Parts: sequence; C-alpha cells; structure tokens
Amino acid sequence: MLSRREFLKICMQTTAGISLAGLLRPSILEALAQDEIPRMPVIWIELGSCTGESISLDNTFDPDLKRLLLEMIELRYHWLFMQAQGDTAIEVLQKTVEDDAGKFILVVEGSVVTRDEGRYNIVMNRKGQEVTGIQLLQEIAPHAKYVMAVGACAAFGGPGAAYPNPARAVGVEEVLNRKVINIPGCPSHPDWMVGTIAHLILYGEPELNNYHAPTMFFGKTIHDLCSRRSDFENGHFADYPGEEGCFYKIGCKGPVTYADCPTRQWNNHVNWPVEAGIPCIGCASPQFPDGMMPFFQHLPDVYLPGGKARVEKIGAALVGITALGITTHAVGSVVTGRMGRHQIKGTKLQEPGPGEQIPVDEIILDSLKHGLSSKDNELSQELLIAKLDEIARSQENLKRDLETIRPGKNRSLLKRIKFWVRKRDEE
Amino acid sequence: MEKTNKENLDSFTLSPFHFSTIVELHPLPVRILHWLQVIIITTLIFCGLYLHYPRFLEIPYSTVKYIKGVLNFLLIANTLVYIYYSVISKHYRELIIGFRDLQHIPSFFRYISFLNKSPGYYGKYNPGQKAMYTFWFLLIIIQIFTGLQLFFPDTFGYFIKLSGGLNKIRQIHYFATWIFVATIPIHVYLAITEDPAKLQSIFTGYARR
Ligand code: SF4
Ligand code: SF4
Repeated sequence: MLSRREFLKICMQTTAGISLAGLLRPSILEALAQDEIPRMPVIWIELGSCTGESISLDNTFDPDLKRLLLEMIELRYHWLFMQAQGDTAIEVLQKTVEDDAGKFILVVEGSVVTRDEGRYNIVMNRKGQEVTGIQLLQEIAPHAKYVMAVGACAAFGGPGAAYPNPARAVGVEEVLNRKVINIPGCPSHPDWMVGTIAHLILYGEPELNNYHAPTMFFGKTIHDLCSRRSDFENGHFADYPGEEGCFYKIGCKGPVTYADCPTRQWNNHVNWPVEAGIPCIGCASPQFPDGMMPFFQHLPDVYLPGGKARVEKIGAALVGITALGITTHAVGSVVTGRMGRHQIKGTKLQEPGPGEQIPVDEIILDSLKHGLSSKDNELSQELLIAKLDEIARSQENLKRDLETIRPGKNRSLLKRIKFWVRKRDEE
Repeated sequence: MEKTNKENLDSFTLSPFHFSTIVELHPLPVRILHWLQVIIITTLIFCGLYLHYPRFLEIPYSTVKYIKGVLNFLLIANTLVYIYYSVISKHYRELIIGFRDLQHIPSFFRYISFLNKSPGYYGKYNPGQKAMYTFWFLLIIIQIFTGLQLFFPDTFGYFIKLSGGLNKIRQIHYFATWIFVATIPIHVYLAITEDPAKLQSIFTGYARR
C-alpha cells in the first residue's frame, strides 16, 4: 500500500497528461484486493444545489477517475447515478444508515435551506411524507463516519446563500454539531472530491486548514501557483480579459483564494481560467460569491444602508469632506482675522534670535556686582536683597504659570517627569 | 565705569526673563519618532495605493512591493518604540484622549467655530488633537494587524477566518488607508495655520512662550 506521504505527493504533484486517478488507481486496487482497506459505503445526498458537483464528476473524461470512484466505494445512494427509484432507493438509504452506522461516508452537495424549517427544499417523498433537506441531513449525519460537504454551497453556503439569500441557506457545518470536511469550489474539481475520498478510505481524515478544507488541495493560493506570476512581479498587467499579462488589475482573486487550479487544471487537466484569459473569480474561497463580487474588481462592495458602494468612493467622499472642512475653516480664519493673528503677530520667534541669549543668572549676578562695587552706590544692601526676592518670586510665578497649561489633575505626577517645558527655566 | 542705578538694574533683571521663556515642546526622541513616522506612513500610503491598483508608473511591481514590505516592518518597529517611549516618559498622557478631556470639549468647539478668540488651557494638546492622535494610534494598530495577516496568511489563519476571510481583510486594510488619506490633511493644515511657533518646534524642538 502507498504510504501517506507518497499519497500526498501524488495528490499535490502535477504531471501533465497523467491524472490523479490514473496515478492512484493501481495502488488502491492492490490495497483493496489484499483487503487492506474496506470498500466504504457512501451516501451522497443533494440539498439546495444545481447538481454541479455530480456533473463535475460525471463530466470528467478521465475513465480512471470514474472507475476508481466506483471501485473504491459502494455508492449506496445518489439520485443521479443510482438505478433504483422511489421506495426502493429510499429503503437502501435507510438500510445503509441503520446497518452501516459509523462506517459510511456522507457526501453532501448543496446548501442547507433553513427558511420555514427548510420547506423550500424537499428532497424526497418518504411513505407519502415530504422530507426536507435539513431534516434528512440531520437524520443521517450523526451516523456517518465522515461528513463531506462538496461544492461551495454545501461547504460555506456559496451561491445558494448569496445576497439577499431569500431561502436563508447556510453551509452544512452550521446545522451539524460535528466536523465536516469541506471541499469548496464552484464546482469542485473531480480530483478534489475523489482524492479526499481516497484519503478518507486509506488513511482517515486528511490534514485540514482553518476552513476544514484538505490542505493537500487547498494549501496554497492560486496566486502562488499561477503561471502568470512573473507578469505580476514585473508589473505587466492586462487591462482587459484575454490580454497577455497578469489579471490583477481586473480583479483576479488568485491572491486570496486557496486552491491548486493552476497546476491541477480543469476539464481533464486542459486549462484553467487565467491561462484561458480570464481572472480567477475565487470560487474556492469560503466567501464566494458575495465576498468575491464584483468579479472584475479587487474588493467586494461595502453594503451600506441604502445601497452598496465601492471603498474608493467612500474614501473619496471622506477626502471631500476633509477638503470642505479645511476650506470652511480657512475662510473662517481669514474672515475672523485668526489667520492674520496667527501668521503675522502670532509668533514671538521673530524677536531676538537665540544668538542673543545670555544666561539669566550671570546677568543678574553681574548687575549685582556692579551695583555693590560702584562707589557712588545708590542702592543699599536691603534694596538689593529685596530686588533678589522679587526676581525669585517672579521666577516662581513663571513656573506656576507654566504649570497651569498642564493638565490639572496630573500635575503632581507630571512633576516627577523631568519635563521639557520647564527645562530652560531651571538652567 | 557705567553708573548703575535703579532703572539700570531693573532693565537687567527683568529682561532676562524674556529670554528664558524658550521652552522645549518636543524633545529629540519625539521629533525623530514623529518624522520617521511621517516618512514611513506617507511612503506606505503611496506604495499601498499603487499596489492596490498599479497605474501611472512603469516600475516593476515587485520593487514597490519590496519597498512596502521593508517599510511595513519599520512601521511596526517605530510604533513599538513610540509606544515604549510614550509609556516610560508618560508622554502618552498628553497624546491619548481621556475622560478629563471631556470638560474641555465645549470650549474647544467654541474655539474652532470662531466663537472664542483664543483656545483655553488644554495642556500640550487640545482635545481635538488628542482625539485624532488616539484615533490614528488605533488605526495604525489595525493596519499593522491586518497587514500582518495579509503578509503571513498561514500564521494568522485563525484570525483571518474570524474576520471574514482574506478579501475582507484586504478591504479593511484598504479602507483604513483611505481614512489616513482623509485625515492627515487636517493635521497638516492645522499645524501650519494654528501656531507657527509650534510648527517650528516640531523641527527644532523649542518655542518661545
Ligand atoms: S493572474 Fe491572478 S493569480 Fe495569476 S499572478 Fe495575476 S493576480 Fe495572481
Ligand atoms: S481558478 Fe479560481 S475561479 Fe477558477 S476554479 Fe479555480 S478557484 Fe475557482
């Protein structure tokens, strides 16, 4: 049997012309033949969906893939692929859930419609009773060994839950209390689905990212794998679809989408959007499609009460408000004369420049010395002392004055900081 | 020798206080941090807007990305030093708006709407400035956090999911940039027109009272 490491290597590798299934099939068949792995029963139910994943699987040209899928699993219920109909089919479903509880894989396709207890999504007629999608899901899921949500809708709500979402559709994980393995994409790539099922059968749960999508397929961004990445780095951008160059400018969602489309490629490994001349729309992103729209813009619109807007528009409006405010204030300043006061009379710096500055103490001492040493001294000792007192007091006053412009409450704390406002006075 | 008399002494002893009213408004660290922040944020805004929609310039995208990448981390470093300095010097008390500023708001509004001729005593900064500096500080924190998420999406996977995916974060980051673009002119305008002495002090550190 393949080791898990080899398996992951095969899943992530990109050999042109050889499909994933082609590479996996021999070893899986061998393992099956030697009874190393069981054939797992699979129930595939479809809720609010366009059947995209089933079609994606069914449309693959790769014969190995379909064969592998059918050899690897026992597909007990799938309303597109099964031959049984009506009561017989439902009976098989019921029997699998009962007999193989804890052994089968439940694959869910489509979003869970929750409005009016899910009555907008009737999935079967059981004994004359209509069964809703959410009801069926919640009935079967607790018995399954693994629950896989395939496609953007089942995984995260996807297009089924897009604005304004009248049916209140949600992803599978939101209505179950258990872990769900999400395979995003609209639709999912057949390799992603089959590869994950193979991993479940061979080694159990694969390594999942924060959105519970297998990292072997969704571990890197499209952008990191893109063949036009060098155009991006060199600043060679296309302005219209179909042109040469990177599609970043026309809203390529490659940088924010985790998937391996550039190396895996679609339609039987033939091509993928960017090579075909169109930006990635980020269908494998959990926020698809609301968070990825408009498709030809980088960023989604901002929904405001009263409509949606682009970030640029809001930004420009803010800049406009600023400009308006500044203009009004400037006009007001001129009219009230504040501008003139501040600009012409406002600064004291125009007066004697710093070059003329002399240390205060020296000047005072000097003048006192002069006063004392002078023969025809008019000043008595007392007067000089009184003068000194006055100087000291005015200095005190100045300090107090300075403190009043400091925040009152914190004066005592601020005193402790050697604050620069006072620095010059203390020198 | 010059005769010293009362008048003479008065002029000597009193005029020195005119000189002594040079006060240091912005100590050297504040000035350095401020101007570094100016250079970093301005460049980041231009780079960021260019990266968002590359046009006009014929320079390789990766060059701009590289410059921005380096400055991103300089911004983080400078902001951390700023925070450290503000905390140890208690400078943050003057920068961050608090409850005690509430009482000043009416007089501040009277001043900016030209009802009062002169502002009241607000301390180093008036409530409007404090509000703006606090707002910018939060905005920088948001930018750093969202920026890191965009830079290391694998490390911050948990937060990315919490805040609604990479594209949402890109949008927040971009929007916050626009808020910077819209608010910085207010600061520049008021700095130039309000008090030339203070404007000088952000270069030299000193102003005359
Ligand atoms: S085309 Fe898209 S995924 Fe490719 S390099 Fe440009 S932005 Fe990235
Ligand atoms: S390239 Fe993008 S839009 Fe296309 S399938 Fe991949 S993830 Fe979806």
